[in-house]
Amino acid sequence: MGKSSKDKRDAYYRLAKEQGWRARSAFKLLQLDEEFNLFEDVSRVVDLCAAPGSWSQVLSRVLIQGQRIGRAAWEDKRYKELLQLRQTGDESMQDSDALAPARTVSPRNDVKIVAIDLQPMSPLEGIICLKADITHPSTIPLLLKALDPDYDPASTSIETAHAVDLVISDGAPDVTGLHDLDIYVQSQLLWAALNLALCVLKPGGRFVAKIFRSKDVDLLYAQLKVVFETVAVAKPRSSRASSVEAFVVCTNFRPPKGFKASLEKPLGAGRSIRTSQKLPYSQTGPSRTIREDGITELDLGSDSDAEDSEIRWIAPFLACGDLSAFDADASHKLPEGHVSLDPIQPPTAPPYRKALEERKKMGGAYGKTKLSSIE
Amino acid sequence: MLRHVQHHVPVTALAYLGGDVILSGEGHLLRAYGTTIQRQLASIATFSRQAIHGIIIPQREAATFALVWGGSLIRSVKCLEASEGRLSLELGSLSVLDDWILDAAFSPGQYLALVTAHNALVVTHRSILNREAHPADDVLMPLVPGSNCILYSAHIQWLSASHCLITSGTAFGDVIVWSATISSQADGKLRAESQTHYTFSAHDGSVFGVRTSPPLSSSGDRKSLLATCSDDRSVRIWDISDLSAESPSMEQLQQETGFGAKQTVRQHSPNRVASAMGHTSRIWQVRFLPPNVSTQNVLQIMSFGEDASNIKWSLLSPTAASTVSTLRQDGVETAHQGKHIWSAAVSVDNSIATGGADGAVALRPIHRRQAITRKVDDTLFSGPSGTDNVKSYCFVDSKTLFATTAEGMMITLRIEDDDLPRVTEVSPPLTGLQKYSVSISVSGIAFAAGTEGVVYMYTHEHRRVFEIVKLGRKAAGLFADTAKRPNDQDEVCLLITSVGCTAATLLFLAPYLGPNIDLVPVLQQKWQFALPQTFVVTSFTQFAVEGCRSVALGARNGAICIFDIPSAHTSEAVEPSVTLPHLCAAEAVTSLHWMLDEWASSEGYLHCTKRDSTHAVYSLRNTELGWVAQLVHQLTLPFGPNIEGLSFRQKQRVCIWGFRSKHFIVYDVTAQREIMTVECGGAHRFWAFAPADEGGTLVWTKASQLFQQSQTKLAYNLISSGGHGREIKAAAVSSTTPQLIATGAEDTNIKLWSTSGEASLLCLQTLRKHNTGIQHLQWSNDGRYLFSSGGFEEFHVWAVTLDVPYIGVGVVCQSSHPRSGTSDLRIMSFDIEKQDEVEAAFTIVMVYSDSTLKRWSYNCENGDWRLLAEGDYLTACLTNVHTIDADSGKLMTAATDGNLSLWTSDNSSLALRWHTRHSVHQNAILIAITHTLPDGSIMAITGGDDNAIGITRISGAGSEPKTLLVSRAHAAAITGLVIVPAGEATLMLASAAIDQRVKLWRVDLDFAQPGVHGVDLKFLASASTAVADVSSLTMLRPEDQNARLLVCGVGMDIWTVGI
Repeated sequence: MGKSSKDKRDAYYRLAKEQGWRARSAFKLLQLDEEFNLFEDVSRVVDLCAAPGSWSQVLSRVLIQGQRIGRAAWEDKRYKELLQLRQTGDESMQDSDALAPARTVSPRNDVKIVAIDLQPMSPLEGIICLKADITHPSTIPLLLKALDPDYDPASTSIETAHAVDLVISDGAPDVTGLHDLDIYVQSQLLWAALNLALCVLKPGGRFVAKIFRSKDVDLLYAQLKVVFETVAVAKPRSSRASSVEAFVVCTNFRPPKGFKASLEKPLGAGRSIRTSQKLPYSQTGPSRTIREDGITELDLGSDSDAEDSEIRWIAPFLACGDLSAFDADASHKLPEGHVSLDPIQPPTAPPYRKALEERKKMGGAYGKTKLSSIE
Repeated sequence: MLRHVQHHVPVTALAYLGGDVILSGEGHLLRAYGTTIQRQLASIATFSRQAIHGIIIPQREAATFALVWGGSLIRSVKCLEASEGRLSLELGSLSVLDDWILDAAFSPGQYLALVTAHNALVVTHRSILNREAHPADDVLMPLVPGSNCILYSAHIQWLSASHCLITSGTAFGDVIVWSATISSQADGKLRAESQTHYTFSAHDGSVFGVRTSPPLSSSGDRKSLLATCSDDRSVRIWDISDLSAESPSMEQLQQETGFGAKQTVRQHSPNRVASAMGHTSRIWQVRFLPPNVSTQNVLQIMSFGEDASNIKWSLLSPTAASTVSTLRQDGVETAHQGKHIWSAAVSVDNSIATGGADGAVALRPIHRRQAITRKVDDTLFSGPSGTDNVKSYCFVDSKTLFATTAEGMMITLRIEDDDLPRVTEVSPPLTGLQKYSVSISVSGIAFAAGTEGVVYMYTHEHRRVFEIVKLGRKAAGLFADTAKRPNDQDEVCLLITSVGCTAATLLFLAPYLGPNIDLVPVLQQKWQFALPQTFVVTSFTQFAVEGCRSVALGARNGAICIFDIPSAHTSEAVEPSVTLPHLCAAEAVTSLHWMLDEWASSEGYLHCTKRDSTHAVYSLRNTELGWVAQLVHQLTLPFGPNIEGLSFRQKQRVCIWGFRSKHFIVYDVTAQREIMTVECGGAHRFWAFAPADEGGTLVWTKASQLFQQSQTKLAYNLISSGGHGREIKAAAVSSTTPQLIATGAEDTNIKLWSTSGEASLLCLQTLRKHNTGIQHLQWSNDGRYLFSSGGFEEFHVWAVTLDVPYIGVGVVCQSSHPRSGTSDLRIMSFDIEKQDEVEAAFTIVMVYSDSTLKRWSYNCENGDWRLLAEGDYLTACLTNVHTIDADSGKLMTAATDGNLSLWTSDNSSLALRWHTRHSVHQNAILIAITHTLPDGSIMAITGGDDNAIGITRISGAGSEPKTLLVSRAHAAAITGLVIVPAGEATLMLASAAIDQRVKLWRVDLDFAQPGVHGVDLKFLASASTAVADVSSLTMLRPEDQNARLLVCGVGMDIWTVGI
């Protein structure tokens, strides 16, 4: 696929290059923020599995530089034009978010952002990059010291040890194609991020992480619901509908009484939060409500979820990025005179780089060697 | 309410239970197959929803039980030999670990060891497998706790009854080799003392496979080797003989910094013996092969990859040329379709099994004798001058070649498997055959002709040569066939074409082999056929229908002509009766075969192979008005373009051969697999092939030298094959009897399947034409046409004919939309309606990924495509379209913005416009189905990426659609919905989602109430499917009154719905 055809196929890929983002995933965080106001009253943030750094870029531009990042682009305009053109006096359409004024954001004081990854990451202004393993206990004092140079691990007070407002993680494994295994490995990454978050989050803090919405995801939701007041699963418009990827957005961190997090004894593999045997949600019967938009919503209550001994819970779903935003699944007409740009950061070297070089040396790619002609 | 019937999913675990039974893990089902009889013996659901990831059989006792694991669960299964050739499986106890299990091994004594994805070791007494029930929270806890690193692979090997060696491969390319000594304490509890031996960076990417060798006896200092494979495409061998080596553990190495362990690990690395690359993508597994006399005890390993192939390697010791050991690649085999070999097993009696993502199990002997290419020494037949070579040749029996030489000699070569061919001179040099000659054979008779146009006949039974005709012109081609005469005597027909002559000569020779061997062949009849212009004959067959004899000729330009042989003799050249319609490119017709229809004596089927990669079948009917011909089948084969020949094997099997780049390929069309591959240099050469049941003999010329290679046994056998190599994206079920299931997958293929009851799904045909993953499939109501769409605006119309002898279902791609391949737009979905006014014409509405839709008219008779109307939505990708009212052209679409829209067309213009846009889901609508209520209103049922099911009632004009939304219907995106017929006032709805659940709902309807006030949805039942990435849910025709559901995604899964 040529560069230009990828531009057409993926509006966010093109837009990321135009706006200088290191990866298209920057839009996912921006759209999550649009819906959940993630950065409200936030000054200390930890970005896990940060490389190549597009989420840190968002943090830097929003929190440090105080930019207002709009989504205005030609297609947005086209959308409005089309809507106006087709306006048939439908009230609901005029309420569209696309026409609402954007929030204003200004630079904040005392902002501290730490980005952690095992992979090296190009530096970003105002962001402390740590090359460390998020599952390792020694990472926590490193992280706290980076946030607060005066931090002394010897005299740990609850306040200084739990100093973070927001923990975000966009980490994902290279999928193998064996779905069970990929789901397990992704859940382990989520647990790793959560374990670290549990160690450093302020009560009331927020946690955002990538999750694979597939088999047994309801078991994960149920566990998150124990430590956060609200747990929602969100799908930014920039994430393709065909992908299992989504994000859990957890707010108001409230660890159960007597719970002490540690990376020495992490949760996840075998250890789950079992502070009480109660279900993390209240038992409810079916309910039928008529929403403002006229849709009758039927909630079947908890009965449908409790079908085995394991505690399952389906977190409410929220799409984010309003529906007028670019559609990651659609093909787009490129504007007149479109010039295809190079990516901001070339992709990191794959582990099979040597294999490719070796094959090239042999005279061809993917097994189609020209060896026979040399014979 | 939901009962599982069967499924066809990736094979994720394999183990041999003795020599002639193999156990395979397919989803949560454990299946047993007989390796000799190659069919299923037993099947049992081992877990309720967890897929099986590993199976081990204890070595010590007779094969009576297996330990099966998946995720964090383990279960013992008793395997009882019930009666001859039958096996019964019985579930034993279930136990739970606290983490994902990577490997397990029984000790020679009484222990069972398991290692988890966090490198924890669990050891228990084997007796726990005999326990009855357990409390749910009785988790088997590790004896050696794990660490924070994530492993992709591990292998346990017991070195003694109490000492086990564990090798672990991490996600970051490191390998840890450690061991544990187990002892039993006074209180009966077990204790482990562990020791890390090596911790090192083994690969540049994740380590997906590790395996330690069995103790080595022969190779000097080396007592134990380790094989590893990785994301970095390499297989590596390490010497881990020295287990006295001590290394700090991974945690200790990381203790000081928390910065990974890359820099410090080098000194704790074992010696790297060898490293090699071979696979084109990631390597999932590696195995040591048992030593064998035939390999002179050279150590061999086999690797299994994402590229669906397995490679055999030999570890060669250092030589004079190379001071280091090397891995030599001994053979690549691709027995599976598409991607991924997920499982492998090695048996004690030297056979090896692989399980693929295509759902197939492939079995082969490890030390098969490699097919050897032999050069035929030309000094064997060279005359005194010593320069003669073979010009033209053909098989007169399965092992004997008839050949003409440059000197004009006729010889036979008897091909021997282990020896040089035996050469017999049939005739001394003849001037008419010098320098130039052509030859052909049929049933033990060969013909040869040369520049002078003299045709010679050789009968192999009598080893005699006759001159049969003099045509006076240089022979261009010889074609032969046999014919049954009414008096049951065979006769031979020979067609001769001559250079510079527009007529072909046909000779009937009979009786050609009487009891009297002195009988000279009798030239019965001689006919001349007038060839059309530019008709260069490339193939020939003769046939008789109701006493009338005809011949079919195929040409280099792709044309096929039928000539009827007049009842009375004539010296006039016979003109063709009919020229067959052909759809293919102007490529040569390489072979023609006639199969008479057993049931209708005036009909038959003409099979042909062409150099456009296809095999085609015409049905020919002799009527009073002449021949009526119809192309009933033409499909592209997975090789070519040069398809050269075809044979009908026993048990109604069709075999086709031809070339793929430098290889000669024999393909079994019925089993849909390659059965023989010979590297011969490619299509452009002289060659001859004699097919046999499991292969055949190929002779070919390369650089003026003659070569031969034979195969008498298949390289591998396949059980439950035929699946897609990638995930299925669309499915549709026909209304015909038998009903056909069409599936379209990411591997760009469409497959047609049949199924009945619990019999396994049988793949009938593979339709290869799309260049992109399939987006949508739909059958016409009568099941005669299948429509398919994909990316790049690809859209094809397939005509399907049932009950074609030998091939089962005939399929022809009747038309491709003229815009196919012209842009990079995807045709996300479409809906077809048969037009009333034209006999075979359809109206097709297509929705595109750029938010547009178009309505086309397609005429099956003349292949005409016409744009009827088009329209623009907004910017969101349209995902579904339904014709609400065919007469008025009303449409409903669904889009990734969560809206349903209603469209009307304006008869006066080409424009389609949406007039109502109704928001139902928060995010993409992935599936939309419609149901017409008795009051004429439409119920649109939608499944969204937002986990919700929407029921939207669309009443007549003027009233807004109303929606009932079940917001948390599934835990993940809903991709399949289908209405299960249940009764008048109630409907049953089945849904499927990528949370791998199938749910059943009751929809209560009181349509007298406005909007959705009278609509209610109640949850009835839920079941877990082994199909990941579910993309569709369809209804199969009910059996025994029970509705059946088909779930497609990564595999296929069938359920019955009890009402």
